[in-house]
Amino acid sequence: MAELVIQQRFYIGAILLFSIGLATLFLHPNLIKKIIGLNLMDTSVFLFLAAMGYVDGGSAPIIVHGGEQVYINPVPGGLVLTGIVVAVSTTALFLALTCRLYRRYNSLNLDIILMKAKGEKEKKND
Amino acid sequence: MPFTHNIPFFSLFLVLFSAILVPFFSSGDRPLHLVRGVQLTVAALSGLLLWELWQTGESFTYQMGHFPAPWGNELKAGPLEALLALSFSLVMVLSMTGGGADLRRDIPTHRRGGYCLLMQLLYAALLAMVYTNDLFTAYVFIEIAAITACAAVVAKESGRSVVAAIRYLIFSCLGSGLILLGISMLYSVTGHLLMEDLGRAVAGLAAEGRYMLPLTTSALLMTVGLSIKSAQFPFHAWLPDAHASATTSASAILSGLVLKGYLVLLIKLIVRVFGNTLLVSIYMYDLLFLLGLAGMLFSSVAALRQEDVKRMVAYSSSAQISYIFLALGMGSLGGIAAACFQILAHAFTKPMIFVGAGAMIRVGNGGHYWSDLRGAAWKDPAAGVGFTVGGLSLCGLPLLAGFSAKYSLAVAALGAQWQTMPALFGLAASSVLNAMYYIPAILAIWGRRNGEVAPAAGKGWREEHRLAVAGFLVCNVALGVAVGPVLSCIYQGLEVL
Repeated sequence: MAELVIQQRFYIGAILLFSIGLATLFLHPNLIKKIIGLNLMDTSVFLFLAAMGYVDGGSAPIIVHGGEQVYINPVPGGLVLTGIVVAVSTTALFLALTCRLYRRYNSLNLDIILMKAKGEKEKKND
Repeated sequence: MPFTHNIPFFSLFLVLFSAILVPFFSSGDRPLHLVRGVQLTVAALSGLLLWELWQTGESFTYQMGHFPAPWGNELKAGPLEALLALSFSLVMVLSMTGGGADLRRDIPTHRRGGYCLLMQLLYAALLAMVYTNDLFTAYVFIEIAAITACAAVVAKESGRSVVAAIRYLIFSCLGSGLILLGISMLYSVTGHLLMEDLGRAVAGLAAEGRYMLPLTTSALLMTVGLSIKSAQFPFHAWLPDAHASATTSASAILSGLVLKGYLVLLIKLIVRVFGNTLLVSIYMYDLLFLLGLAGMLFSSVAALRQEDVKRMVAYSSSAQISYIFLALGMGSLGGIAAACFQILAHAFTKPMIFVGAGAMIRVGNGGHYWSDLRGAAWKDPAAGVGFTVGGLSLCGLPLLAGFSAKYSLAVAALGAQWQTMPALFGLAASSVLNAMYYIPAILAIWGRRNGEVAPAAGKGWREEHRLAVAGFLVCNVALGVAVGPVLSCIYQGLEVL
């Protein structure tokens, strides 16, 4: 059992990180903490992908002359790069929206913002 | 290689290039004209491609950069993809036209170029999701669609729209995270990213019974991820808020097209990657069927309680997406064909409803509630007709697209095994529920109001939203009447998908 855990340590770590990120995203009312949770989730998937490409005893996938070598799989690395770009763009958008909300409602707490927004709507109807 | 084989790549390139050009044309209405011109061009090209592919009934693979698989990326086009591209292009251009007046009112002049750029990128993402043959390309364009659709929701600046956009972004990123996890699991057990190679590898593994746990988990993760992004019950919480505070063209495109792009990907996953045998053995079809059935009933019941017209139509969108899940859950070719037909029918119906509602809200001085909209159809008859025909189509009036979609769904249900009675019950119940909230709505907007009943002044029939409603009406009725040819094209496309 312990052998299995040690052998699959990266994947188990990735699943743990994903759950922590998910819990942070949904359970914290603070917007900045939500963004951090989102980044944790994305990072866990990158860890999963990168660990998948690793080959025990393999070297960096650059061909050097002189002998056969075992290389690690470079394709997952490419997928991780794409994923990182996507995560950065999404984080930037989320932060921009958070700035807008802060300027308007002066709070970073989503529950308080929702309360104020609902109050706004009812006032408009009177 | 005949010229038409270049059309998928060329349309994608044209759309992306025009998106880059938009910031150089940002004065007045020019970005809107540029964007709409390109969308019409791509619609014409897709029509040409459809015409050619329909006659031969074959599909072709376009290798990007002439690099063969597995080193190169691929686009694949058959009759079904060409039909979907044509429909999405037409809906896009009609939605941008119909929402033009609201665009000028809601979005300040210096931001209009940015909005058109984002919509054009969204359009590119939809085209790519239709044509792609590679799983990771699909993921990249899923993300592009998510970010641009989020920007569409927040374009009309208000506190509530930003909250709605954040909620949408959170759900969307959760869905994308699950999809990426599914893709990486699938890649780790097969070593392929191109859909056909993946299909062969998965079929081989499934026949030997190896790696069943990763394959099942991957299928489940990708299905749940795509359901979250396409507002399927129970993940539809973000849709009503996103619609209530968005500008008309954004609502139309979000409900009519964005939700469908992910479902096109789901259909490709089911047909090309996972295949029938594996999905039956892991009960995936039953999951899709139950999700669809639950969604149809719960979303329609939720729509009954809404006072705001846009929120009601949003819940109705979620219910219509559930039809597609129900059809996919039948597990037969007829089911998938019915799902494709429902994609087309809803894509032409829901934007028409949003354009009509938007115009009526505009003449009613901005009130979203039924009390404000009473008699609004007399002030703007074209908008009223659009809303009415759209609502009747969703209730299932014959000769309209909604009826034909329900008809093909029922035919598929009759050919299924245990799904027949639940599916027919669900269809009947949801049609009754649809009528229960659309018919009072239609009666309300055509009701008599004390005081002014004069139609609002405008440029007559040449006003933008009237053109858009006319276009949508023609396409809706055409789809409803020409069920036979459209369904035969879909079947032909599914054989070579």
